[in-house]
Amino acid sequence: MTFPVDPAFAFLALVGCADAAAVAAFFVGRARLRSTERARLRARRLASAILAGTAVSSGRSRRDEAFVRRKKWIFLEETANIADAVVLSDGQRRSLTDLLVRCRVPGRLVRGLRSANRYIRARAAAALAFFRTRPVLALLVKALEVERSYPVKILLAAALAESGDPAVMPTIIDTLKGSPERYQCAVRGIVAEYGNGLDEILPVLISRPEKEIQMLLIHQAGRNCSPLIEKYVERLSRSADLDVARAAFRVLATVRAGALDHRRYLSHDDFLVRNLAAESLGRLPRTESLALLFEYMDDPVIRKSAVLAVTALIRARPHFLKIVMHRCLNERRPPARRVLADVLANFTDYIMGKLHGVDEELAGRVLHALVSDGKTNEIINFLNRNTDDVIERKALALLRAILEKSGSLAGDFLSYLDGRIAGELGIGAAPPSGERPARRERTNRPLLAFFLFIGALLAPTLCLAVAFLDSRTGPDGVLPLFLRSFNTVFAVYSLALSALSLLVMLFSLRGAGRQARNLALPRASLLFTEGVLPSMSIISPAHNEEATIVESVTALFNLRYPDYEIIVVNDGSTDRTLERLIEAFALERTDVFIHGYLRTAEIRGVYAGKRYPELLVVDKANGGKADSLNAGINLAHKEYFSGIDADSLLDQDALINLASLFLFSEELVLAAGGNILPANGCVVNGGALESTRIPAGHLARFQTVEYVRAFMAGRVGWSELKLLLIISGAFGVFHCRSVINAGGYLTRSERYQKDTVGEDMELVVRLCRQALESRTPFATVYGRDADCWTEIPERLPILVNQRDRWQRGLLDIISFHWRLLFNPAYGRMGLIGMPYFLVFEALGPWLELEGFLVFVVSLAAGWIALPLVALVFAATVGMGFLVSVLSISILERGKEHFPLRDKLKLLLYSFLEIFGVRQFLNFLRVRGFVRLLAKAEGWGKMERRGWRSRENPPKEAHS
Amino acid sequence: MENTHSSSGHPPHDESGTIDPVTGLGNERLFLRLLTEEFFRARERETNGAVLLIKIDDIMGINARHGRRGGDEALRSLGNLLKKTGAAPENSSHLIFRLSGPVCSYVMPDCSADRANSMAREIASGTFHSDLFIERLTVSIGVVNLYEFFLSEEDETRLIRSIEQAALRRLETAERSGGNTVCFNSALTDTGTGDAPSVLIVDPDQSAVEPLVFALEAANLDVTTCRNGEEAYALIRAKPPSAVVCEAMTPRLNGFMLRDRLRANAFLGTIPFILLSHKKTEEFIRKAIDLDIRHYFRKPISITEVAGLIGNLLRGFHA
Repeated sequence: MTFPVDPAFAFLALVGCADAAAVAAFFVGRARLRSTERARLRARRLASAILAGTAVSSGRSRRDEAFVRRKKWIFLEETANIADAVVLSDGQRRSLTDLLVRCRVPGRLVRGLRSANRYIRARAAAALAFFRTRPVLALLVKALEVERSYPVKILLAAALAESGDPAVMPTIIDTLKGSPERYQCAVRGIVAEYGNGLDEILPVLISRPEKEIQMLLIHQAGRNCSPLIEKYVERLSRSADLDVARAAFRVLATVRAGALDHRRYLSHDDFLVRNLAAESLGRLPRTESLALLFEYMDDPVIRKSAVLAVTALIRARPHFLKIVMHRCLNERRPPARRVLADVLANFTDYIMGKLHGVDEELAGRVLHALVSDGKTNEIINFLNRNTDDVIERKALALLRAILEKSGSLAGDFLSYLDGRIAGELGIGAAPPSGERPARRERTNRPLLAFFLFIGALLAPTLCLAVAFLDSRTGPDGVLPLFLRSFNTVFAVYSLALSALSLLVMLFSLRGAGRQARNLALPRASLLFTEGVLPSMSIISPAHNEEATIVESVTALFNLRYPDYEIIVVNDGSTDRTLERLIEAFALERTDVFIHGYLRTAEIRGVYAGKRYPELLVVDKANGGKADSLNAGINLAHKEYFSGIDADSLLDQDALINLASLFLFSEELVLAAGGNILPANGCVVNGGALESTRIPAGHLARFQTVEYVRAFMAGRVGWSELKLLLIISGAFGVFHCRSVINAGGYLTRSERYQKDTVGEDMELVVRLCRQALESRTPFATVYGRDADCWTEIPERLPILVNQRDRWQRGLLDIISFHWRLLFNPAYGRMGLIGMPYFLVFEALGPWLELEGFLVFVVSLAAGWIALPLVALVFAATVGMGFLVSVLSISILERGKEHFPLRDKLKLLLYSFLEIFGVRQFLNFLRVRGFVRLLAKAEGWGKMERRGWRSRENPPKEAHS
Repeated sequence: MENTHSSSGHPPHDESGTIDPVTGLGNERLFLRLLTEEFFRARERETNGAVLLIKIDDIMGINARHGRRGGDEALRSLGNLLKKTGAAPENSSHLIFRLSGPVCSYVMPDCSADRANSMAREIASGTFHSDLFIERLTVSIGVVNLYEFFLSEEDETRLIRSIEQAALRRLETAERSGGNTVCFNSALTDTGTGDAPSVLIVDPDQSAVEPLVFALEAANLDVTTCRNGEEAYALIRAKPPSAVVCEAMTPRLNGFMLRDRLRANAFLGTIPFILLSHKKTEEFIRKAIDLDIRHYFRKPISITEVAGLIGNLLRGFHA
């Protein structure tokens, strides 16, 4: 040996030093966070003082100037924040500008506009928005003209539009040509928000033939309609381009509903225009509207719109109800009659009330017609709530007569009618609900067996063969030789795994920094401008979650996001989940149109309430989580949907932080995910986090370390590498249209007729796969600042079950999408992403477990060379700990999740974890593999304790 | 239903002219008799009770549009709605009567003042949202708490009359303030706390709070700030401010939910409530209107405007 020390020992020492350095960096990072906070506070104070015009002595002002020069970005950010919350007068703006000019900030910003770095240009654009002087605007206009990156363009356009100068509008509008839909949407919103200068250039704009500009003007007309633009929109409503014609008519129907020739549009070629025409009649409470609707009601395509329209007409003019009742009894066209029955069903309460009123006879006949048409839901609902015995008597007499004639209806009443009333009606008690159909998880067993061979047997067999051959030529026996070669394989594998983690970690560090910088750029007023962030449907599947459901939904109401709706899917709960929701949010059964995009288990009913218009609750037969999400997608109206577990709590800013990152993606974001953190140690009050702590149990703390490492060191980096393939089911955001086109989550009722336990990852893989196959550019995003807190298993059997499920899911997906493996046609996803999962996640645990056992045996027997021991230690302990420490620092960068004590504990646990826990978790993965092959299936059930609340929750809080 | 009799307040065999023919509820005579019993029982046990007088707004208009039968029907439907409210298990002791004209009374024995107020609001919004009526109806409600008369020394008949009179006066006040209103106390402006006028600002975003604090303090107002709705509620309960300025999307308890909770309390609900937010969508505006929030500013706000408004709202407030 020529070295004084073996290189393995040197490497171990090096890794040890790196560990120490990482721990030191961890504390430095904390101190930096504190000092940034202080600087922020000082900047805000200074800006406020200047705005309030509080005179400052010259000595102070010199110190202030030095401060601004030193911390110019923080100062700019804080002034921009103030200007975003409060309208500044010209004088105030000038005095701040003076200070900034004295500190030579603008010059630097202007240079930034010409930078080759996208981020520096974006930052300059966002900051220059503050100045609003002519030269600055001219520079921004020039920058926008040559800019190619859409994220920067949005910031430039917003900065220009905010100035309110009409001269900048043509440049902004010209950027629309050939731009992606998302960008157009954002610019439409920005122009509508600030674009009062549009009127001057309108005569020029209306002669432009570009579709993008036509759409912009149509959108603008919806906000602010002059006669000129109105005429223009009317012309466009006859456009050959269906998108334009529809959008134009939509606007026309709202701005000049009264003067519209509805007959023409009710017989339009396009079905959507016909629907829109019917809907718009509903906003015109006149007898003519009703007559027109009656006339066109037998068009089956506009059925739903006609129902909505007539209902709206009656709500506006209640005396129309009688006309509709008579019409319903006399209608001969079956489609029209169905529409009228649908309408009248919405007024069941009123009609039932009439049973002992003036129009008793008419009401009776209408009810008869309704029940015969199968409109039983509303009547059942009414009877269950009704307290008037006279009405009940009369209604029951009527129903009895009808049921005698057609017995088939009795089933409906049987399953939903209150037991007592059903008894009086002479029908028995409800039968027990049907058993849930068996799951269908078709597994590719030959492929899995092949994987098993490679993962579990290949390395030992090869080592054994090598040892056997060597033993014939050398003096050593087979066993020591086998152990030596196997230990070498183990060391190399561990080294490769750790090196890879560290590599991804480096990308994580870069990605985390980039995300934090990007998030600080757009101001709240821009984010809350219509269309800048995509609208969002939050879908929360719930199965037997009565303990936490109301709090979870309340928390969703508190999200800070411009445009979102909440859809809770009750997946055949056997407890009181649905009842809890109905009580807490004053919900009522409603009839809504459910799109048939995806096939799901049977929908039993949809509930909505007037007090919380953004909430929709779907009650459906049990079909599993994936099936519930598909049902939610069918009801979602927004651009993106977000699947959130009912037992998870979203941070108030989670959604906006995640969606803000979409602004910075050049490609269409298909899927995005956020941080998952354990909520077990947190105190929750009224659906909001009161304090965040790490969990108390050892098992949960080890998992916390694991989660932090997986998300911070793993997914941030993978997303930076454009290879993010896992998005946790607890909190993920997906592009609605793409998911529908891809066939939704994998369930047995959808097109692939297959269930999987890893539906979240499978969907991402399938979305990416289809985008790659159709060659559409796409992105998947991981948001480091979007926190979702979820309950993790605290007891061992549940953890074992969970890991079993995860491993089965992973293997299922790899074998389902095996064509992607090592396939260059799928780019880096086929060559790096999927193989990584196969090698290190699916097969690696085998090798790791075997290697660990062999290592321990040979260590105990003394059959291993010390350098090899050092290498294994350096790889597993040294580098493993390094990754953990760095991931905790990334988590705590910019925002403190846990108090210092907890973080120190996490450091300790991340060290202890390496000895035993990691191996145990590997064992669980191996176990999952074996169980999948042995077909031992079973649903791991997570037990819920309910949120821990404060010791003495205020009682009056929910009065 | 079996509990209709108890809730409509007349014993099943008493038919001697105490039943109103239109609604089937007890009439004014029965009301006065039961009110007398209720009052003395409450005074003896020192528990509160409440009387709500509920009047259909614009009954003349309804009669004009739908004929007198329409008016009767509206009244009957109101009776049904009240019966439905009274039929809930926790309301089983409540009594319902019809007085002269389009007025019903709802008696709540043995309940707190806050409960009575929230009940009144519930009835008002229930009526507004109900589909039972021939058209969109609103009601005005006057609320009297029995404890207000515990110290009165008038004789029995005059005492009961003056309770009824007080209730009618409040009903009139409610009606005069535009209908769809609930009036709890005779003097609507009786909200002063005696201290200097104070403003509570609830907003997690410090950039909005600081300039506002500067401006309000310059106007000699006592300003407190906090960052979340839960904390704000505790502060308001401990020491009610003269006005609340609140961001709509506050953590823990958002602005709407805070307003909703404040409205459950008769006094706290009258504190002027100003909403601020970057988000001002149709949906949010509708929610604000539903909660009777009269001032809703979109950020960026003009400090002059908001501070000026607060100044105007608190004018006449004696320091």
